[in-house]
Amino acid sequence: MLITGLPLVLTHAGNQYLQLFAKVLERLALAILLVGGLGLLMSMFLGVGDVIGTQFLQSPLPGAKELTESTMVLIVFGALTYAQIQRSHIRVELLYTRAGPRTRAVMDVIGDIAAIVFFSLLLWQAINEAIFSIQLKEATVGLIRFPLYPARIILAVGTGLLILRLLIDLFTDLRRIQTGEELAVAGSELDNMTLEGLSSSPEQDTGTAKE
Amino acid sequence: MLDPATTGIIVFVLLFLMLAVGVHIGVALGLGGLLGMYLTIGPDAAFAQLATIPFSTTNSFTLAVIPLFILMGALSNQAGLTTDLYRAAYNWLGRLPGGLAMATTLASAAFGAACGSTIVNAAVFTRMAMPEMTKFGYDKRLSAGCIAASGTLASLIPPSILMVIYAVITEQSVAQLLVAGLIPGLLSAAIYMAGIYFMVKARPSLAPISDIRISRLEKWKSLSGVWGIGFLFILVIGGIYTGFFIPTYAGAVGAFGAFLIVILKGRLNTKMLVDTFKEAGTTTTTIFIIVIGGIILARFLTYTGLVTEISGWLLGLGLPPYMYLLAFAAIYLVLGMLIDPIAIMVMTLPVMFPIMTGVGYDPIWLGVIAIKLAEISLITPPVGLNVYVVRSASPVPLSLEDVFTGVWPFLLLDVITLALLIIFPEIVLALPRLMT
Repeated sequence: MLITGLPLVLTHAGNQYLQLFAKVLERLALAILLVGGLGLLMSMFLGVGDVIGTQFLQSPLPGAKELTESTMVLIVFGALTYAQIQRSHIRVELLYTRAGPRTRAVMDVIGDIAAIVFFSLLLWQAINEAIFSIQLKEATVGLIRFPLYPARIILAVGTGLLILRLLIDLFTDLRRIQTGEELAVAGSELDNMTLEGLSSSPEQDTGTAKE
Repeated sequence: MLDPATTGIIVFVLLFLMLAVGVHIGVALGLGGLLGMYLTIGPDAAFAQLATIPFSTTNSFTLAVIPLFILMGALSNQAGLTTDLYRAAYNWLGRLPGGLAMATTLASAAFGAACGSTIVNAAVFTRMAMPEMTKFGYDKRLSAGCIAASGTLASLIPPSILMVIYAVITEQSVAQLLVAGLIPGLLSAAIYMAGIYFMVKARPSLAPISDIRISRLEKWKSLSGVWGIGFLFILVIGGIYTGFFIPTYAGAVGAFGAFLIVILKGRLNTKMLVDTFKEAGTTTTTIFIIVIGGIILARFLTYTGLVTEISGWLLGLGLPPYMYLLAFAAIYLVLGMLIDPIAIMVMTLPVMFPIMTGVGYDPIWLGVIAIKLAEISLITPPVGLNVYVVRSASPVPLSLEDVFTGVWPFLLLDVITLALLIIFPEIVLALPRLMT
């Protein structure tokens, strides 16, 4: 195979750097996800505050709606990389679950490349939009002029981190074609849905669920 | 520039190939739509869409209801509401014929009132109810089938993420759709329970009557654990129904209610919050990437006039409306074997919604039917997703055949429900019609 020569070139030191890089990226991805989670909690309080303000005090909470919108960008694009690390993006698994380890690795490589192409195009547009937004001092129209450029920057940064992670995945998956190893994933996210200590992964070999 | 029809064929062949080899659904939809626009209306227009759609989809107050509903479900789960619900249903129904299976259905439906996800529901109840039913000698096929089928109730009973996505794609009222799912969801649950009762009456060996004795005091006591979910449900649905707040704020209020329950039960700690955030973040982002990809594909279909062309041609056939409905059902059931329900909706609705409303079907009613169909497809052999979820989450050894065999009676019951919803559309429409 043509492509399988590549990972062999990787020296031991190079491999260690890659692992270190992957570790740093994972920490960063989790940190952003948690900030997004706090943002979600804040949106929850803002929503409740706005309801109380509007219905009982005749004074809606200023900026609640705008802040919630920007937070949503943080939640979605902030969690993007972490979801990829957990390989929880949804795909059709009809053939995947029936394939051998090497074929699976090939399918993963195709998936990685498709995702890299898509998100790179998206990043390119997102950077343009963010720069434009900063220059323009883009803000919402209305009583409060809520700035929009932070959310646009978050979108670009989140996409950029995802692409870095996809490159790591591409590397690992290319190597899997050669070695025929199974994919090792940290654990399905549904594991976190612990139910009084009961936890086993419900996500193995599902028809169309998470990887 | 290529003509839209040729491009359409190229895009769909490519999309099919990408999905088959397991490219992430959102990426496949997005790339397909992008390529379609690139070939028909040119690179500038295509990239302009890529520049705006990801931001406008996420920076959206309407869609903010999705992460808030997910947060509400995750917090309710952390609060241990599922266990409380199951215990209460079990205490009250346990001694009836098939009582434990009925309790599973009831608790699952009730948890659907806090959680909008079928898969989560099925996984959680498999771990809890499967060992319990096995312990009392229930036929494992009945137990597994019951859990897989009852999991699907979460998508009809509000809050439902699928309902929100349908509303956004078809530009219908989120509030009306959420409310519209309530009675059909309860009807499905009631029909499942009646079905279990009669199955066990006919073949008592399926489910031996348990000899557990529960005092009246214990029965009433177990209800005390259920107030939480009742409170949440009334708060969220009552608020939407009366127009006291908009759905996004219903999500905020519901999540806040669940948060309070977590605090009252003394379960608030850092680990619990981190787990909740991980779950909410990951689920939200996977859903939104599909929605973003789906909207890009939809833009291609509408901007190039393909939608108008296809729907014009199909409407021009002048078939009776039920033929279109049959085709709609067939497409959902077939796609449902392969693709996640959210992806089915974003892929098919831009084309099919104008056709279905064109032949006179009510948009709100259609939403409930579409979701019921998507849910049925989750338990339809040979590849119903929920069946796999139950199989792999089960602490009791189960084969796929066991679950599929067990699911059959429930599929037939679903056909009855669906027929009722089609013959009597008022079941769906009565409640939303009363809203102002």
